[in-house]
Amino acid sequence: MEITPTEIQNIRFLKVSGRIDSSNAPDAEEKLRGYAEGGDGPVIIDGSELTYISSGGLRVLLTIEKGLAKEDRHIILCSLRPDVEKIFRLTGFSSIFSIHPSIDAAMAYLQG
Amino acid sequence: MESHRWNKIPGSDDISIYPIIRKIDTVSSNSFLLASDTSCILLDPGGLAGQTDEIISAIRRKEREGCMLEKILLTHTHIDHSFSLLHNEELRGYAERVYTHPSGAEVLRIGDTGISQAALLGREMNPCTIGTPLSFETGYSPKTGLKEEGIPFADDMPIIAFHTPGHSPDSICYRLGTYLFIGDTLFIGAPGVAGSIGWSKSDCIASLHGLIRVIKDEGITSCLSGHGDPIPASSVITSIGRILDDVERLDTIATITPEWARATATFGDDLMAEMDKTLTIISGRITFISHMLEELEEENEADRIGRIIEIAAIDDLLTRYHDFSEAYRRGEHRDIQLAQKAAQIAGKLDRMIDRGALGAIIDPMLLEHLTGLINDYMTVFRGYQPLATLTACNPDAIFAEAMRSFTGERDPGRLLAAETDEAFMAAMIREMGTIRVVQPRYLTIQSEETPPDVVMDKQRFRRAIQRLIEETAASGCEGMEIAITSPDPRRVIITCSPDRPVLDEQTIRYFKQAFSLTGGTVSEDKERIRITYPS
Repeated sequence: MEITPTEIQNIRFLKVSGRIDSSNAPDAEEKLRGYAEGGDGPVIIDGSELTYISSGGLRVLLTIEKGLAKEDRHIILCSLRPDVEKIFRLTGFSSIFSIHPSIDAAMAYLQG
Repeated sequence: MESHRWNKIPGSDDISIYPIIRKIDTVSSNSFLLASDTSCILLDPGGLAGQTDEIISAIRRKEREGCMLEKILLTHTHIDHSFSLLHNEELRGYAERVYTHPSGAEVLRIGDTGISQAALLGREMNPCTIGTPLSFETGYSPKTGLKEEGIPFADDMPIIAFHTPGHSPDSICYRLGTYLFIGDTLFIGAPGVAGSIGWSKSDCIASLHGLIRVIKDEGITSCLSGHGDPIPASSVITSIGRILDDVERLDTIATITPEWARATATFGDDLMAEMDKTLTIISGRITFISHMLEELEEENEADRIGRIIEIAAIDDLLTRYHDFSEAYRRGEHRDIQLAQKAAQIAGKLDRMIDRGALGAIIDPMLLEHLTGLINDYMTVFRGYQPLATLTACNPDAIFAEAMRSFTGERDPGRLLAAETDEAFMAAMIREMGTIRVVQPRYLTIQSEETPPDVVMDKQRFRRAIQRLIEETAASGCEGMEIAITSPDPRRVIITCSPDRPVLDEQTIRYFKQAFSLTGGTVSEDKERIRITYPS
């Protein structure tokens, strides 16, 4: 699992690649929290290269989201692969997170 | 008894034992060195280079004390016990002094990759002619019912060999004083072991009865297994009783061949992928409900729900299987090892799921599906075929029932009828655990006016079609067409066509298996799944 910050039109994205499972969920949480605390605004996650997320991974995202929500900030997910997006739908997590089909769609959403 | 060091043998002042006890796997057995003042015996060389190095180094140290290696005894010639004998030049040099059953001597001489399991475990045989097959000429002992033969060792403590076929034709147990070296006796009824080439149910039963007599009548205190730790004799008698029950029930099981292992590993891998998805959904829903309860400031209930399933431990098991499966794809493990790993993980997952507690919260369809997956895999791994209970039924009615499970009206009655806080909370949690991803008009069914009944396993079909509907809907399909046609009076064809191809190769393979087990003949491509049933 890798988390790489990128920037498109002055908006920062986090590209998450590989798997988030029990072997790296604590590492993912630490990195995402570090990133969230180091900035303001939404935490936008590009999931185009996220191949698998376990229930532990979902819990990591939820924990970060709860922390952000206290500051009226949120996680925004975009470009999830069908297999991963399916898990969000089937677990009810799609009602917790703002999920967009592409980076463009996420940016359009942010720009209102 | 400590592994990797010399220990005195009870009842003798000058005999000692050097055990190399390993974790249980199919790569290498335990090894044991036995030494008197003047002679040394190696029992089962095993199959790992590091283990061989340790054995040779211990032998050399003994030689410097004037204690020479005189014999190598084999409990049997399975490759995990004999590989180092066949491939290490120094140990091969002792071939003249190797003792085994004559059938085992033949396995080693011709390099029989079937009985030795070398083909199954992907290991090479380097044929070897050994010098001292045990003849067991004196026949069956009236006391034990087993063929016996004495092997000279120390004056006051000879070794007695007992021919105990069943696990393999050449299986032998050896007694030294109150110790009994039992080879793979404790595994002979185990799934993935019973049914291997050379395995015999009737021989297993006779040998197990004989061993009970040996242990009871000859004052055995400790049994040294070919794999895992030494075990007190009393526990072994209890275990053998259980193994006898298991073996008695084993009828018409599949023979464990490399082809069986390949098919079982593939089946297991597909089912584990499906178990992974199902458990991720179950655990995710529990996390979701717990979160929603927190939002409602019901912290105590959120905490209780969050602990209903051991999410971290389940995640960990799934990750371990994934890592093993990836290593298998890199060629680091054999088919039989993947099949065994899938069984091990599925068994642990099965024991971790509290169906009673979860059943009150989670869609029962998910739990039924998970149980079905585990049962089907364990059935195949034990060497049997999962059963299909075939009855004549109306496919239209099954589709209607499947759709109702997704889109049936929510039941406000439970919430409204709740008269206590507890009942209201339970009803609310149940509602939260019901996640709807299928729209009411998702299925378009095209069938003849009165389609004939089809002969199928109704429960399996309902489960498979529910999973297909949910899987395709959650993957972004907006609909699925079901065509029920009857090209002739004896056949009914059910064709399921999602509005776009969303299933990956492994998922398609899973559904092919799932529908095959409903009693139909399946053909599939990325666009559709077609099942033909007798009518």
